[in-house]
Amino acid sequence: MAGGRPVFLPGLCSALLMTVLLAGRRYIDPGSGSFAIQIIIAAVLGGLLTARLWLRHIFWRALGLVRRRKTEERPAGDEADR
Amino acid sequence: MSSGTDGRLPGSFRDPAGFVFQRDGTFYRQVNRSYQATFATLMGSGLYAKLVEQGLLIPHQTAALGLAPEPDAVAVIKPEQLGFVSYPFEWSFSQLKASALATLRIQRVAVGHGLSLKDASAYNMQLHGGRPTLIDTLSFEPYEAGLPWVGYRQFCQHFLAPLALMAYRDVRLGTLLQSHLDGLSMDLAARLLPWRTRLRPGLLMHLHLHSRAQARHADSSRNRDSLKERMSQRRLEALLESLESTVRRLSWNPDETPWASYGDQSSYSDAGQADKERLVADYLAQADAKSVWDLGGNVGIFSRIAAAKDVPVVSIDSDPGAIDLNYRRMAESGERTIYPIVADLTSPSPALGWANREVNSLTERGPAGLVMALALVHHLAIGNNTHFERLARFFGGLGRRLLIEFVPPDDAMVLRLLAMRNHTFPWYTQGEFEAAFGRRFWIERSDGIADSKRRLYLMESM
Repeated sequence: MAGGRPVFLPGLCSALLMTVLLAGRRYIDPGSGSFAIQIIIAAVLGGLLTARLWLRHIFWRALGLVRRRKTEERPAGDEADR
Repeated sequence: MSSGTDGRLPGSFRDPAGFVFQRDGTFYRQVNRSYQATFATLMGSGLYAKLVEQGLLIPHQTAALGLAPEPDAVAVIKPEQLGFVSYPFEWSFSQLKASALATLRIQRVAVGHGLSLKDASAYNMQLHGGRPTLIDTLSFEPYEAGLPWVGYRQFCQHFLAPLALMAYRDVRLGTLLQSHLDGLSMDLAARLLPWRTRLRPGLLMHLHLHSRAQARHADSSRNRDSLKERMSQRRLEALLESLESTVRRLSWNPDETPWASYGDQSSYSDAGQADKERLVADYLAQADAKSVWDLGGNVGIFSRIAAAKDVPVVSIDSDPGAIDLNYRRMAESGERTIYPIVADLTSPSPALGWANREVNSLTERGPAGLVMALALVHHLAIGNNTHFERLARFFGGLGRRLLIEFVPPDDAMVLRLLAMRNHTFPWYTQGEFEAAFGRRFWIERSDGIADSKRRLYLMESM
């Protein structure tokens, strides 16, 4: 995960995972549990990644709209006066 | 390193894809028929070339098929030979961390080429050219989109759990890997880690919840087919990224420990230190050894003088702080032939694993061309109550030639050791030292160190 990403998101997801994994039973075969948790973690992290990309996309689109509006509002010949 | 009658390494028996064997002192790897297609993919997909270019996989040459010890062979490869084989329980924190990151990097590159690591054993990573390198060329399998990574559990056991314990509990817990050859189980790591590690999302997910999931699913058995279509490549990449980030954030700094100024403590004046370095370089040139073991090597000052001749130098010390500093310096300056390992000479790493033959003891990994024992004799003789006779026998078993320093009984460091003892060491004299070592070695040369009462000796086994 990128260093700049807020810590609370994975923390929240980890807490959600905790609700899935309640009290354990006897320790016999660690393989199945490792696959199960890996699939869950990857799903959560994959979802986060998608959400992050989607939020970034929305952010840049919104920023693009604001910039376009500002350019349109600027009077003609504004650049030439500088 | 010991091998069977057909040259096959006793520790190389688990992988159906092939095994390592030895011929005339050279190590080869047989590729079995069952692995033919995957081996062709590894070589043809560009993965081998890319990993070798990045220094992540050991390069090899094709060797004669006739060398193969077993008829099932479809190829024999001759990998570049390693200068020294060390084991994860002997590595410093920084070396284990670098090996973990290299393993994840390899897996990410492999998935991009349609292959995946079928295991994530720390024993597959060795220092080569000064960098952690995958030495098991047959560690890959075809990547099946939708399947989880089969090496995930082993990665957590071999790398993440010991690193977390070393970072959050005590760096000396790395030696737990000696009694847990397949890594630390998740439940053990989870019990030993402090509660605050649950506040670290990476450790919470990959260690604590992993441990609970193992307990919860203990009775269920799954086959590979039931796992298909459960994990897209994108999710796998997110998992690998999370593991990498979790490992990167684990840190341990020797400067914050009691070993902080260890490397700075010198028993010599500037002139004495310079003279000792000059003499050691002279002795090394005279010995012209093809490999050197620097016993009690500390942060590696004299190991570096030995490594200037571009020969493998194993720098051994029981202090994990000193060895970590030694490794960091090696990695930062791109030194290629130094192998810093944590080992206690009063109880060297034993032979371990199946029939005690999977992991070689420290002494089995010799002999060294030259053994260096600088400022060490007093620690073993007085600190460990070991007579010179036994020391001579031990050093003689490690290598034919010996560069050794005698620290006299009136030396400040010896007096400090004696101050803690309630009996005397009447035999701890220069005469007794020379007599005991003289019964096993020819003393080729001896010089006093300037501005000091200490002496250096170059010896050769009789």
